[in-house]
Amino acid sequence: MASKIVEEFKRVIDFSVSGFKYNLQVLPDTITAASLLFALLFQSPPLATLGAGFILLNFLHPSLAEFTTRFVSNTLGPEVDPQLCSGQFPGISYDRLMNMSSEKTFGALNRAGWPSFYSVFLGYLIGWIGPLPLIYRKEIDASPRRAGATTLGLIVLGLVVIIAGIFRVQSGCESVFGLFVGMLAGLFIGGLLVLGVAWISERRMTNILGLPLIRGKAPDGKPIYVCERNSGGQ
Amino acid sequence: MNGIQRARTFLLGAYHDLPNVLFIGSLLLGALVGYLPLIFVAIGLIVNGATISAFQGLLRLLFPTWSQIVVPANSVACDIFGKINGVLRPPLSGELVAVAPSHWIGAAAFFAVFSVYNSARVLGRDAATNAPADKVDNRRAFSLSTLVIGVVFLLLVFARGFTGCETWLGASLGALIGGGLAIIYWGILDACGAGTVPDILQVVGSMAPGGANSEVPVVCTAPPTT
Repeated sequence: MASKIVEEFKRVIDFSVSGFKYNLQVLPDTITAASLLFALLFQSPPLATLGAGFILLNFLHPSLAEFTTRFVSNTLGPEVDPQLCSGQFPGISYDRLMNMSSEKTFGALNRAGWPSFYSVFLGYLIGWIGPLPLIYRKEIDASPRRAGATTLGLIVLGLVVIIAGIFRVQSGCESVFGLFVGMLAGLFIGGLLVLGVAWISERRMTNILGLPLIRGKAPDGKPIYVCERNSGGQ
Repeated sequence: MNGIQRARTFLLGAYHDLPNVLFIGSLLLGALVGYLPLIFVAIGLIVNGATISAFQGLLRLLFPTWSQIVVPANSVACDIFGKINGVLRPPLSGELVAVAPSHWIGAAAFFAVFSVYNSARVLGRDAATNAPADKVDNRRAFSLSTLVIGVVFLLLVFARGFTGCETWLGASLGALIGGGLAIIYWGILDACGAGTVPDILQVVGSMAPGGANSEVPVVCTAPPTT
């Protein structure tokens, strides 16, 4: 009986470890799918903006990879297992693998991507979420409880990026230099995009934190919030 | 790979991985942006998974050979983690795995029912005295649209039955346990948070104070406790 319990416990641990590794492996696709699905289910424009940004990154990355390939040639791209390192869901169709397994020419490196989509995605995530406390500084300052949640969010973001980065380098999918360059590129794209969208939409479309926006201050110093269109719905 | 192929792989992958997407998405997005209700949903998904595992063990003990409960592990197509090289061992020949109640259907039904039930509760919430009718309509229209989308999502979840990865009994029990637990869990969270904690749509939480009148501009100020 005791050995059976130990065996079950080991199975749960094995399952948790493999699940953890799997989720690190497909993190970009998982986060993209989740943000799009939640945006649809909860009718949330900020989540939709985040998801649309991830899709945009899918289109921007090949151009970025082509650009870098022109300059660094094919010497910096390590030989990687495309299924393990793509950061995408394991294909129901394996056309992606077939595309990548052709002889390694200039174009093949471009498809494999250097810097990798994964590293650009991590940088993009930091670039998008990192500036939010600055963009919504007034609102966060007015609510210490939200300030705590925001700080915790930044800590979680840091942990996720560090763990994912270590996993990528350790699993041979990424060189430290490639990871750094990719993250830097993603950081730039994400930061630029979040600031641009925040400016265009008067901070409404990037309000993923769900903060009530402050318009000004009352004579007694208390903040005056902008009530959202459906927030006054009694 | 062109954009359409990539989109196809992404959509099929997202559907195949749905429970994982829901769990990791709720947990990570909830933690990253301090969206507490989503973190509670992720915790609920863990409880749901543990409950389904317990039921699987019980049913396997009672009906060790019934094909609606256990099937030969001859394919990794239905296993979310099985596709990863070297992460899990390949199934042994003739090995049986429990498929009832279904983990996939259970987790997806939990999330969908939680969302639909939340929308229904927000939709049915009584309007405050003297509340402007247009704002009440806004809230109800928003809740109704999320409710309809939630129901469509729930129907899409049941399309999993056409993939050959589920048995009738497994899918039915999974949906019953997942859906039932979602309603119970929503009730527990509601009892602890007076309607604001399980409100994943953030409708109730962002309502203006009662008695607001369209003649008078609504000025929301920070509550003294924040």
